[in-house]
Amino acid sequence: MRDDELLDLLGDALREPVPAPDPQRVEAIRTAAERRQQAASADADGSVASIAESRSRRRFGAGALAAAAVVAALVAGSIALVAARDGGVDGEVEYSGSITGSGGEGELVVTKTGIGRVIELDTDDLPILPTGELYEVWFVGPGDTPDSPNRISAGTFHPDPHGVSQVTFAAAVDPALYPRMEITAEPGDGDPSPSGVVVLAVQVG
Amino acid sequence: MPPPLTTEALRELVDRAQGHSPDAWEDLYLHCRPKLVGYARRRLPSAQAADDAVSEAFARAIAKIDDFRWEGIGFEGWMFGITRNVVLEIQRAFTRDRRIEDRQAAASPPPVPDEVGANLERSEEREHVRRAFARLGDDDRELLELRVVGGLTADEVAAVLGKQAGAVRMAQSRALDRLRAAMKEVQDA
Repeated sequence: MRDDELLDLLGDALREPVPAPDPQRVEAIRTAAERRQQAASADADGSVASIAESRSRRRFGAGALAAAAVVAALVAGSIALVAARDGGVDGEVEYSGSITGSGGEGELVVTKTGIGRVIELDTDDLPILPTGELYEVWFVGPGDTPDSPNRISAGTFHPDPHGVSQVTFAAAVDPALYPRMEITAEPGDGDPSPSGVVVLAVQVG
Repeated sequence: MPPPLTTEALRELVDRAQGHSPDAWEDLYLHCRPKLVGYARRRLPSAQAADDAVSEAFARAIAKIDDFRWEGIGFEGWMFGITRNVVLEIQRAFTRDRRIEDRQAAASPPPVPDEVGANLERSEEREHVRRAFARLGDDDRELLELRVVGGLTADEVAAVLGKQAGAVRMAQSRALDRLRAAMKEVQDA
């Protein structure tokens, strides 16, 4: 059998019918695109601060929301623009509260959405790392040890030059199975395993 | 399965997606999802996990679309690269305690039902090649799957796997030789 014939036969054998997607998944894709579209518009308008304030509005209650809106309006010069950015991540909030450790304290929100869990982290406390090093966000499951890890990475980040970290990740992970969240400092050496240097941690599930 | 897109239609969709059009992203998702879910399905413990991984890959693609360029790798190859990274991250959590192998074995792809009157010989051949494919190593399986199920060119596979195109072509040739040998073993068994 020639190579091309064998490839055809293999493709025939391996292709499986895939059911149509759940409409919620399609809607989640559209929502993510709409949010990206809004963020791009905000960037173009020079009103980046209003997005951060929009996230704060959802997290810290009505009083803080109003204050954040006023601040954002002053920064952006447009109350209408700020109102349009309200909404945050659509879905069921599974955790909203502090995450603490040797790296200080941050605010963490974990939201269940159609595309997985969306993790939003805000902290002004984490030290700025040397070039090449980074922070990594983990969902940690039971029995996790250095020799037998049971954890899923949700992504990596650096604080900005002012030490501010306002980051959003998405991860296909269930906090019921991986109930602890950790932020570790990683050396950026290409080794995918965690360094063990936990700077922030909290139980979310 | 959505109808195939012409190269021009795909480029037009991606252009609109780079403008963050929700309609364009929905169309791209529906177009790419079957291949990506099929790829993830063979590497993750459940159909749900595979769909989650593809949704996650699209969330990342939406966030990173400004970085995409039509240089050396098409949009589908780019999506396979992102999906592969998501799948590897999920697998990494399981690899040390071998749970992923157990679940993959338990969740091996269901046989594709033959249509009534389908050619029996072809059906047996498919079964042989499926069983032979399962005997190949991970690297051989992934390369061949990206070529025949993903429909990627050797250059695109090389970009997804981080290898040289020439090395991919040689690896494909060797993988097909091993597949032939495995098919003979299956047929003789």
